[in-house]
Amino acid sequence: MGGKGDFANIMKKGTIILLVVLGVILLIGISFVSSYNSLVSLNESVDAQWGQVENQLQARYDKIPNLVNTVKGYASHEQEVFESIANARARLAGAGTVEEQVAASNQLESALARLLVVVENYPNLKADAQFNQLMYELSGTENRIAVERMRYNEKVQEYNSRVKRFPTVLIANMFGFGPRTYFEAAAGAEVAPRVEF
Amino acid sequence: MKRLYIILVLLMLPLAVCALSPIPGTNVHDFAGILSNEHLLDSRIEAMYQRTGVEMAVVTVPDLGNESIEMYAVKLFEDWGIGKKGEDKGLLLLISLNPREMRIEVGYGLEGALPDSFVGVNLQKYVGPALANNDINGLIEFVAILEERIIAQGDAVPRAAGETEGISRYETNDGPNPLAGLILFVIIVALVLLDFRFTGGMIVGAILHSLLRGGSYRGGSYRGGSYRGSSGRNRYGGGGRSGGGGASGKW
Repeated sequence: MGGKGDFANIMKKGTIILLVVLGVILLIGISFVSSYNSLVSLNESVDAQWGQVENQLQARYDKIPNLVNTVKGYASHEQEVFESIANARARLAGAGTVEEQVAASNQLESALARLLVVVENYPNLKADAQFNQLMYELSGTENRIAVERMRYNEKVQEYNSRVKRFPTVLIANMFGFGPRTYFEAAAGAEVAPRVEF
Repeated sequence: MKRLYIILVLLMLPLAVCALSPIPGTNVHDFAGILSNEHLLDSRIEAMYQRTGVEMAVVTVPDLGNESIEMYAVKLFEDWGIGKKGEDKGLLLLISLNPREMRIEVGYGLEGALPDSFVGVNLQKYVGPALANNDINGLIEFVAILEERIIAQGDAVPRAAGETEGISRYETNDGPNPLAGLILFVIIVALVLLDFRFTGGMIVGAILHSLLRGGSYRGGSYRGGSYRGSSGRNRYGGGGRSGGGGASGKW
């Protein structure tokens, strides 16, 4: 009478072990899929935030000719500054990758900072209403770039730490999710230039 | 499970404490104690809210804690969620005592109606002298100028008196499907029971351990959590954001 009961017991145990194994596989599968999905959406949010940065870089790019022309009206012999701005602007226009854009926009930022120093020597220019308006808009744009850059870097940090952390790193390697590039601000440019009237 | 909960709460605590909380029931948050007759300014802002639907906070702080006023403003704006999420029609007038700086931060949704040069010129014209002379009327005038411009640009959506902004809106984040969640929950409970029956909870322990180690990156839920439970009227917490638009100056 024991033989049959033992067999039933073994069967029961076998079923339960099978269930446990299946359950563990299911759990691993769920965490695998959710890791993959979270990597995809984090990657997308980094892209979206980079789009915001690009919008503001473009806004700055568009504002420069107007500003330079106004300054030229008062300070026509400051050729060196105008040239460095023109060069940086051309470089930004030709930039393709994120790295190139970051380098070119940092160059443009320091050229603009030099322009602001030059402006200090022209009281008449500082009193010009149109110039004042342009300067408010320029410093507003610089600040927007700083804000979107900060938010971009936060997203990159979140994404990169996910990509490098176990066990997500396995999935990241499997599907080719590499770390993303930070937007490092030019030295001394963490604070947007501000005009004082 | 209880211990896990306590650990989670302790992890969130430092984040909640360092955030500045709005004073309930007012639009003027004079943490530096430099304004007088604030209630006049508060009711002027309240009137603007009813006529335009634009939320505005006036905040004074003793110092900026090693941060530029621009970054301080954009973080505070996002932290308090001034304006409704998606609309982003909020304004923040931030005044710091040491250094003596001021900034008007414009939400994303008002950047069209309120260009930087417009708010910058009027900040210098009204707010600077008002602070220097401790005259609340200059600040009231500034609010009136902003309101006029918002209405003229067609960005005003009048609200009923006393209508409060949705703290609940804040909590209706897109969650997972409840049915799927229930099924998953039942499966997990069954697995946990099986695990405890056969391995004494080894697998559950290992999973919890890895979750705890990896869990700290989900920082999103602390935002605004410090005032969610406070009683009284609270107009912020709608989830509005700004992107560095506006203007700064000294006073």
